[in-house]
Amino acid sequence: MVAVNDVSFSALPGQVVGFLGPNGAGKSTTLRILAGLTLPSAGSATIGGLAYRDIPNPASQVGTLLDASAFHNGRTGRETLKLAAMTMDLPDSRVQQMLEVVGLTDQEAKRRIRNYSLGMRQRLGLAAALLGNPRVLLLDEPVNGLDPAGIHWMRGVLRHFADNGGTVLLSSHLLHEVEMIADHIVVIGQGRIMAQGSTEQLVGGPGTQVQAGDDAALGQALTAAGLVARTSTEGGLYVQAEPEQVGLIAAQHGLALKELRRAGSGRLEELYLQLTAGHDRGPIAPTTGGPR
Amino acid sequence: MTAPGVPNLIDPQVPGVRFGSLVRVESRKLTDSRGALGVLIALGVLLLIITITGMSNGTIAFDSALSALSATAANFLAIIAIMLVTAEWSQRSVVSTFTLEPRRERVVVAKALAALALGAVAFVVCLLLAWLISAVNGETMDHAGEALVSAALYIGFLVLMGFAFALLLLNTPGAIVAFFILPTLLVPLLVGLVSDQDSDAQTWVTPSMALDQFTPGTTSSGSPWLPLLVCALVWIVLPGALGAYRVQVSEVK
Repeated sequence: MVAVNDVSFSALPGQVVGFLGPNGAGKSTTLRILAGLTLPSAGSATIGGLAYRDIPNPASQVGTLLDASAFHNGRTGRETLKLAAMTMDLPDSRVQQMLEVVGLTDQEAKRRIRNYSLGMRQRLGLAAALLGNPRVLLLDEPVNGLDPAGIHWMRGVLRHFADNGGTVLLSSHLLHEVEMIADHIVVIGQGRIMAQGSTEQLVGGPGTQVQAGDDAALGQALTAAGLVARTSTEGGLYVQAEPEQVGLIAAQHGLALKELRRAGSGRLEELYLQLTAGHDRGPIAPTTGGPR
Repeated sequence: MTAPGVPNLIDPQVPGVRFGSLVRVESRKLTDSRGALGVLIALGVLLLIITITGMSNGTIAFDSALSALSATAANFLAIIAIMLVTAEWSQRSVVSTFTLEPRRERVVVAKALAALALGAVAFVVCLLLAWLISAVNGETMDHAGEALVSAALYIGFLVLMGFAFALLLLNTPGAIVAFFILPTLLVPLLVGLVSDQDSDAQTWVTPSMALDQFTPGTTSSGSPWLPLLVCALVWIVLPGALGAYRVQVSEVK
């Protein structure tokens, strides 16, 4: 579906695909080219074989949320949806329905958008994206600005959408967000795809982030117990085991812990950190080749 | 998304966005945000003040009432036409406008038609108010036909000129300043400097002078339409074409 510098991947119906990459990797540009807002310098971008411009009544087939701050601040939330509904020849009842789906109250919908928080803008943006009952969603950083409850809610909405045969492509630069929300991940960096696969595949087995008063002693204890532990990028240790197991070993050795929690992803996190740390924003190639 | 065995995600057979819907949407945008509504209300108040003043004066006839009302309306409507284009770019709502209808040229034409439709409404309002003034004053309807043509041209020209400037600059203050400075002051001044004192060169590049040729009672040498046509080419077609191209290829951020 999307290619950056000659690399393409596909998103299938029923999937929530997370498009993960550091800032400046070209995620937003790629999505904007797909939606026809940015013209590629070379090549083309298609959805279902059609360029966005050639899709009839495109918003009724591809829902987009590319920039939650790109609303007219002087309009109310409801009016913004009403204009979109008029363009697509949809009844007003559809506007009301979508406001309910994204949990914007009548009071909130009557307010002008300049008074909206980022979270409310994201909800309004999702309502606009879903308005035309599309089968594909393109969402750029959709959970940006949402609190944990909001992220949980967004996951529910997108899961429901995908379970009904929809296809979701969303971008994020935060690994943990994508892990929570996507069931298929495409990692992009340096203008090409670094890894892709199901979230389970990429995230791998259980992992634990642990920090003790004496990390060295803990490391020895864990290694002695046959576990693989290494220095974590977040400080402390990253262990390929369940937190419970790590906690037990620490207790047996009388080591006091400062931190003990499940760490999302082993392989993927490592890969992503390599990708972001070494050449953060620097030599990462822009999407000059253009998506196909 | 074209892998074999995958149901096609996009239906190329559904009907596209109707042009009529676009015009309705763009017309609605003329009044549904505070900025546009404010200018419209200011215009209404001003037209009322002119009407009341005109009625209390006692000698204002239909043609001069209409020319005062329509000149006021035309300048305000030009600002509204400018904002109809530029506000979307400064507020960035153009992102949703162009994802709803990516064929940007249709949106541009719909906007132009919406601005002209508002101009037509304002023209009728000016007409009624001018008739009211002249009736209250007991004046005749002399030159009514000429006055109508002059008023319609004034409103139509200024609306389209504002619209063309807006397309070219995509910036509200820039377009408004350019609209009021370039065609009325700067360019006529320069042309006046380089041309003969007796020549009417300025009329050919100054919309207000070309439009004044249509004011009832004005005698002009030759057809008044030719200078107006030249003005339209310079101040509407040229910036409008460049602006339409700019909108077509601009990255929407």
